Amino acid sequence: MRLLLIEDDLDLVRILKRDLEKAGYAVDVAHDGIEGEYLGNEGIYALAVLDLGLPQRNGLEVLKNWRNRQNALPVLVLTARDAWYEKVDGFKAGADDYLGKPFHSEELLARISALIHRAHQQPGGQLQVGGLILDENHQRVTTETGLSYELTGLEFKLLRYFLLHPGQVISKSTLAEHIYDFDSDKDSNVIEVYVNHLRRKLGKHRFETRRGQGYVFKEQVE
Amino acid sequence: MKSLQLRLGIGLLISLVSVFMALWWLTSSSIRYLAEEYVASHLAHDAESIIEAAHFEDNNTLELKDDQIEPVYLQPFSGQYYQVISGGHVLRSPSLVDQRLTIPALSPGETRRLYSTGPQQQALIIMAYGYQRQNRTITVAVAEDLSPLLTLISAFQQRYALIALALLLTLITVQALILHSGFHPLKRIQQQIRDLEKGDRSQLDTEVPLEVSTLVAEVNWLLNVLEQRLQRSRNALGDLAHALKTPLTVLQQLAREDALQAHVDICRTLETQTSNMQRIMARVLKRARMAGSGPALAKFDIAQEMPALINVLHTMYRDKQLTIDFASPVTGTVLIDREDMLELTGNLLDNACKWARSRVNLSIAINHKVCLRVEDDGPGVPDADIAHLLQRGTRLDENVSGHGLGLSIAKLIAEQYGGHLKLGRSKTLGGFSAEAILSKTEPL
Repeated sequence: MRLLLIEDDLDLVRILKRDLEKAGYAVDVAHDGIEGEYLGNEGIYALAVLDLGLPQRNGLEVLKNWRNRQNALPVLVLTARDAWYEKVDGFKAGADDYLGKPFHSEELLARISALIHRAHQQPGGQLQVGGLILDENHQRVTTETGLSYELTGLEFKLLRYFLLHPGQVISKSTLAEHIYDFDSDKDSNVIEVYVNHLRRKLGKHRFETRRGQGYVFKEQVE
Repeated sequence: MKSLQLRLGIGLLISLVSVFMALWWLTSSSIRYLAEEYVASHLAHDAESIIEAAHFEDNNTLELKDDQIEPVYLQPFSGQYYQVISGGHVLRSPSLVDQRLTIPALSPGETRRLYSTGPQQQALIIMAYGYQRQNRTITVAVAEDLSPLLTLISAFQQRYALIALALLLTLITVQALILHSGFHPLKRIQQQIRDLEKGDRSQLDTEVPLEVSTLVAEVNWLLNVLEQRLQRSRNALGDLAHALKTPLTVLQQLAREDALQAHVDICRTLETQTSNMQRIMARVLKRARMAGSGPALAKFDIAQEMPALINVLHTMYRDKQLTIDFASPVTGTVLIDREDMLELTGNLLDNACKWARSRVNLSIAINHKVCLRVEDDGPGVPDADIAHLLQRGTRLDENVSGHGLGLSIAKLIAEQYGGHLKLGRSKTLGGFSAEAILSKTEPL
């Protein structure tokens, strides 16, 4: 999952980026409204965390511009301006959730995860798809037979993406996009290796290879 | 406070009445003076012809040639009399019959005008002249009854008074009308100021008479300043909040840094102090943000704003699958600042959604006062604890944050609008019920 974090306070960005990456997200950062709006229109992000008090372009304006362009990117608004009328105005502008500063990282992570689930038509709580239960807090998966596996960072990122897109053909480059941020070296061979790790732990039949196209996560095993 | 219009009216009335009375007096006395002068000159002629007719006989007796005397002096009590005196001799007109006039002896060339009551109570004017004839001093007095003239004059005075009175009344009416229309622009300003208080307008019309245009301009300027100042102080507080909250978030996160985990005391202090700061800031900022009731109030459109707010709460509590019912008998506007109304309703709804199992009711009733009730089907609060709820910062359940703060802010807002917050148990849903009653708002 690749997130866009638009926030101008460098210390807060450092902490949030670290916490978000620890939670298995690839994070790109924009420090002002104009850059943030541009990146948000790239169409590669699962969600944007948007501060409202941004230099150069106000966050609310960024949000309105996205919505005017029919950009349905899920947006979590992060702001010190948390009076009710500001919340109403924020939601009217097209926000999906609203988190007032100051906040704890746990709360932000919970909201992000809930918002991503919602965006993929999944109920809140733990991610349960095809008999697998993914514990996002502890990066652990449980199978229908009750076996639990600890996942490495990359395994977790891959599996979460598969679980959120069951039955869809996912190319290696899409997977790479959602695993690495701008600053990382992208290596699609690594993805092959880690998909094989997942197959070994959870069963080969769940991850089908479509030659030249990518992978499909099978919700129902024939 | 005296009405300017009344004062002007009374002043004008007094001056009008004085002018009319002075005119009446002047005219009446002039008429009388002219009439008397006319009579006097006529009497002077008669005196001339009487002295011409007078002569002394050889035996020193005074005689008048009757043929030179006008016949009116011969009829008894005709109203015209003469009396000629020289030494011991007195000649009286036959019209006097047996009466006599009291005349002083005058030296030659002397003239005197006298008023006295003559025969049959006639008001006489007497002209007396002193002459020298044949080395003797003669005083000729001629008198005429003024009564017919006085009757005429008093009839004239009455007519004149009646006409003057009618004119006076007409003028007073005209002036009252002029005053009324002259003060009309002021009445309009008065009405506009009342509208201003009700929030129907934000500025006064500038098309007013020159005399009050400075005042109106000043009021408009003050209204602008007030509005700007409110806006500026709100913006300043918002900026302050933004400026402080981001560093506060960073500080809060610091306590969770791995490097600090070995120092439990430091972490705990950092956490306690940052959450203290957070609480204080939230309280102060929210209180300062409230506009309160005042002249330049905007209207709050219930039908437009409330569904948007409910939508926000639906989104925030999406996972709870809440049903939020909204009942408002009016699709009108209330005179409450939008930010205050949203803050009040938002806090009450947030609290209800936090505790509700599946249903929340929001209802607004308006009759002179605005009554806003929020109920939920949650566990509610025991009566004994309700009093504690409103003590700011008190939270019965520390895990669900903001419970006490939200309610105490709602209470502050309600009090700003001259109302109060009533807490209790919901009769329909069985859970908590909060009712805000705002009285300084007129439905329009």
